[in-house]
This record gives sequence, C-alpha cells and structure tokens, in this order.
Amino acid sequence: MRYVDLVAAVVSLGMLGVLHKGADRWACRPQAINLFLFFWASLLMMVTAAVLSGSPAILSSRSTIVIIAAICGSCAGIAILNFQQSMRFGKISTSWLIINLSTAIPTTLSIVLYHEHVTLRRGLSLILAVVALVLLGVDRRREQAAQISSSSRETTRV
Amino acid sequence: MYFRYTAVAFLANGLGVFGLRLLAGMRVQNPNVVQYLTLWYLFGAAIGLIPYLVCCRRPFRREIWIGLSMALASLGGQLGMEQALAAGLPGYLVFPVAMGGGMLFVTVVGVSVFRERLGRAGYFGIAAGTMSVILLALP
Repeated sequence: MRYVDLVAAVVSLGMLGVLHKGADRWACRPQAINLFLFFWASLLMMVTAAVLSGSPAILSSRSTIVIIAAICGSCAGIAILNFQQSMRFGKISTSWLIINLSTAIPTTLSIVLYHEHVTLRRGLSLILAVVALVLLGVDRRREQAAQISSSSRETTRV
Repeated sequence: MYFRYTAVAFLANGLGVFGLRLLAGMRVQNPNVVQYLTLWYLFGAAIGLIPYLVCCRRPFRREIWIGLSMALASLGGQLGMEQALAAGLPGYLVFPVAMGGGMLFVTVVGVSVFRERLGRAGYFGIAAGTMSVILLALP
C-alpha cells in the first residue's frame, strides 16, 4: 500500500510536466496558465493548512518568513512564466529536465553561502548536471541547424 | 528565444526553491512549512497577475481547468511523497524515485505522445541529467 503513494507521487509530478506541454498544445496563454497555477495552488495550500492545523494562519506569519516567501515566490512565478513561454519553442522531454536540474542552484548556493561540505555524491551530481546541460544545448543547436538548412533548401527549391 | 526563456526559468526556479534553506540558515525557529508554501504560492500568483493583466482580458475555460489540474498535480506529488515517508518508506528511496521517475514519465510521454525526436546528445543529456537529479534528491 505504501508503494501506491510513491507511484501516485511519480505520476503526479510527471503529469505536471505533461500538462505544461498540453497547455501549449491546447493554445493556452502562458500568462494565464502561470496565474491560475499559482492561484489554485495557494487556494489548495490554504485548505491543506486549515485541515492540518485548524486555520491557515498566514496572517500571523513572522516577517522573516513573509519576506523570504515574497522573494522566492516571485522568483518561482517568473520561472514558471518563462518555462511556459519556452514550451512554444522547445520539447517538454528536455525542458522539464532542465527545470529539474535547477535544484543544483540551491545546492551550489548552500556550498558557497553556508560552506556546506561538498561530498563525493554532491560533487558528482553537480558535474553531471553541467554535462547534461551542455549535451542538451548541443542537441538543441544541432536541431536548430538542421531546421535552418532544411528551410533554406525549401527556399532554394521555390 | 528558447535559450533565453529556459535560462531565466532555470535561474529563477533555482532561486525560488532556496527559501527553505535560507530560513534554516537564519535559524528561524519552527518554520511552518505549509504556512511558508501558502505565502510562496500567493506571491507567485501576485507576480503572475501583472503579465496576465497586461496581455489578457478574460481567461479561457480550459486555462482555468488546466491551471487547477497543474496545482492538483503539484500538491499530489508533494503529498504522495509525504505519505510514502509517513508510511515508513525511506527517504533515500522516496525522493530519488519520485524526482527521477517523474522526469522519466515526462520523457516517455514527450517521445511517445507528443512525438518529440531527440538526437544522441539529447538522450545522453537526459541520462546524465536524470542521474544528477537522483543524486541531488538523495537525503
């Protein structure tokens, strides 16, 4: 039974990526998708908070929490808007990976700002993240070059 | 355009998830994660309202429903992981499987349903990236 929860998590997180591409295919505007994603998520979080602790109690939050949530939430809003915009030009299979690889940023910041110990596993994961980004960039450039050459061939034929 | 949008999304998303580490670094005592995430989403919605008001008048019905589905999927992912951990599954299994599995799910759907074609470098990139995310997700 406990594996059912894990499978549900895998499918849910995967569906989130698929829905980003689906929204683009169904001609949804990135600005609207971004807004409604955050709007519904905040509503659902308030309900979850109310169920878990009796009340959402966001008004009683400490100023430090509010400031950090404001900065990081704004960053997340900008991230999802740009990600949804990129769906018009790119593939979900590679773009979703790139967005997930951005977890390397907090890891790097933790190492730089908090002098956290760089374990072998962390070091390896950061190197692999860079390798992946370079390879995906190479793949994208090759695809663009192929598109340009095929379109110029079409123009020559005309 | 693709590189510009993706680069901004990459950087902003990375900074967006750094908040909980910042709270821990500032030694904020007993930060309520649900409370923090509620505010985090609210500020995301507030920022999202600006470009929406600039570009759009009325939302299409499908945009409202897809937005809701995405929010449910996001919450479902988090709650699924939490429930799996609460049921006794170890973190070293839950986090890498959820993150890596979710990414592979998207790749499979992208290639099979959306007919996306990748070169050899793209497939190697996905393999390296998936391994990287799995290693990063390990507690």
